[in-house]
Amino acid sequence: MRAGLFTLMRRSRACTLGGILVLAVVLVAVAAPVLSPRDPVRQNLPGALQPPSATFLLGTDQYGRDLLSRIIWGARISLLIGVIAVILGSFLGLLLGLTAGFYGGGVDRVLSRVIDSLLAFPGLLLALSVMAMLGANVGNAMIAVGISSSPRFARVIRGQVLSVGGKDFVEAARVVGASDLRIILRHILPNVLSPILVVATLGVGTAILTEANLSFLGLGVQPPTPTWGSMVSEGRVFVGTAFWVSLFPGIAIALTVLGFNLLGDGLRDVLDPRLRK
Amino acid sequence: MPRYILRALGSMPPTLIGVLTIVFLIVRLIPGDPAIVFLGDMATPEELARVRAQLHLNDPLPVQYARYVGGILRGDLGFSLKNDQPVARAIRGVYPFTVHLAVAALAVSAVIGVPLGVLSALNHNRPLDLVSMGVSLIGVCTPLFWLGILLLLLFSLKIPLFPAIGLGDPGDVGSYLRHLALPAFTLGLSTAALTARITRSSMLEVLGQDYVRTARAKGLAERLVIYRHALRNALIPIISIVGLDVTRMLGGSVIVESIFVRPGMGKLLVESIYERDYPQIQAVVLVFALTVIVVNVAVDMLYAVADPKIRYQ
Repeated sequence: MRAGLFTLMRRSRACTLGGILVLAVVLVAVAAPVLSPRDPVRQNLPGALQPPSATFLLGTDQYGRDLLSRIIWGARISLLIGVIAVILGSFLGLLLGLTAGFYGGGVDRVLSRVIDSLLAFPGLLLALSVMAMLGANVGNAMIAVGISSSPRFARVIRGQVLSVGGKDFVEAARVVGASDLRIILRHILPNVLSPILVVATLGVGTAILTEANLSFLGLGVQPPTPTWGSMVSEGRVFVGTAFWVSLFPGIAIALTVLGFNLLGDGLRDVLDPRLRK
Repeated sequence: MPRYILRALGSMPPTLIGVLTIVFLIVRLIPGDPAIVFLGDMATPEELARVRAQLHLNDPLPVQYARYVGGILRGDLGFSLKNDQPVARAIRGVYPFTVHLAVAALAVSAVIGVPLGVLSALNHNRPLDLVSMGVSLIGVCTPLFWLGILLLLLFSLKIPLFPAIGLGDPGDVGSYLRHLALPAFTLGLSTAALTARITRSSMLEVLGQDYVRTARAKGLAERLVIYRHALRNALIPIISIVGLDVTRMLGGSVIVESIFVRPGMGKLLVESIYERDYPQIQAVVLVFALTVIVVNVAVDMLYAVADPKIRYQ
């Protein structure tokens, strides 16, 4: 099955392109100490706001820091927050969605209202509120972005559990006396993993954007740690004279999010037999 | 009253209770004593006692909750710790500007997104379809703040077509609209990408229906088939994403109002966070969520009006 899935993924143009982009960002993030030409936080004020050149491939920022090095190290923070936030969001979503979908009735009605209520908050607002209460640092950014993504996971998972929960094999497990936990872990969860995988892949892109928004507003990861959102924010003051300071980190965000979105779209096509051509 | 209106209205109270509870609990997430967080470590015991009394932090949680909900029902959104005035006053002052921004952005999104989606569907799997969907995919992935900065650079600094920042003179319609243009385009363009993708898939589904084939078979001009039969039906699902669009736009207003230094709910929220004005943060977030709920109920009703199948369910 795994080999089949990989072959199908390779046949999908979206999966291939998205996979290449994601793999490239992951490699850059992992190999940052090797790839980064300079120290990303070392200031060099006489060399501030230099345009792209052979010495500084993407130019320098207002403190003379090498933009290429900062973008390379920024990939680590973006990926780390994106992936961990999605793991946290999908875990919370699983708890809510599985419980609501599996037990149904009053439990479902109450939890569905909780999910609806959470969905009434624009994702960024929810993340901002949590950051405002917990304070700005990397760990809290992961928690804030994770919480803001959890209602979307919960809604998808609840829908999937509802459709799987009525199937014969679940009824059969009940009849032979399997416990609720066993039915959930052995019979339902494996059958709802595919859609979770799709939503999670798309969710990493959204989480990276949310973290970038938080950093842009100065409410995410704090300086001097290089993050793509804060780099765009710092550069906006000089956008008329040194546009590259904002331009390149913005391109890095867009390409990374594009990669995860293409991979997610492609996975959905591959995993859903109705969409498979 | 028709059943579909009652059904849409009936979904409101439980969600409202949920939203109120979440907003109430947000401040309770603060680790430690909220009064110290509000005033800082240097606050005197008297100041801390004053804030605890002002926010009723000494009461048991259920009493605090009942008092909070009671206050909201009376229109009391709380008292700003930093501005020393009712939060409702600050919100009333800026709420219309955010509504204007969201409505203008919604118009930009519809004017660009719907034709792009229709064009894509009519040229399914041809180069035009691939290009327009490629552009819209890039639009979905582009950070809003980056798009805003680029538009500001291009259409305000390089080509001085629109003012860069501010609100303009609200009494002068021309000045107000010129100042609204770039923020609305920034917010609208980001949502147009999603609208185009949904319009395309909805239009493709409708174009495959029997009644479209029948319309073509009876010799109707292609233009009439598309506009009278296909597009009118394809637009129905698009109504349902207006609610989603508004949610995205209200979230986006935080960014756009910060970039273009434009007064509004988003900017008020960011300022409240910088100032650690927690009652104001709570109130602004609550008003955002209430707006989303009201818009979604209105969209549900509109959907039922547009689609007889929903109306007679």
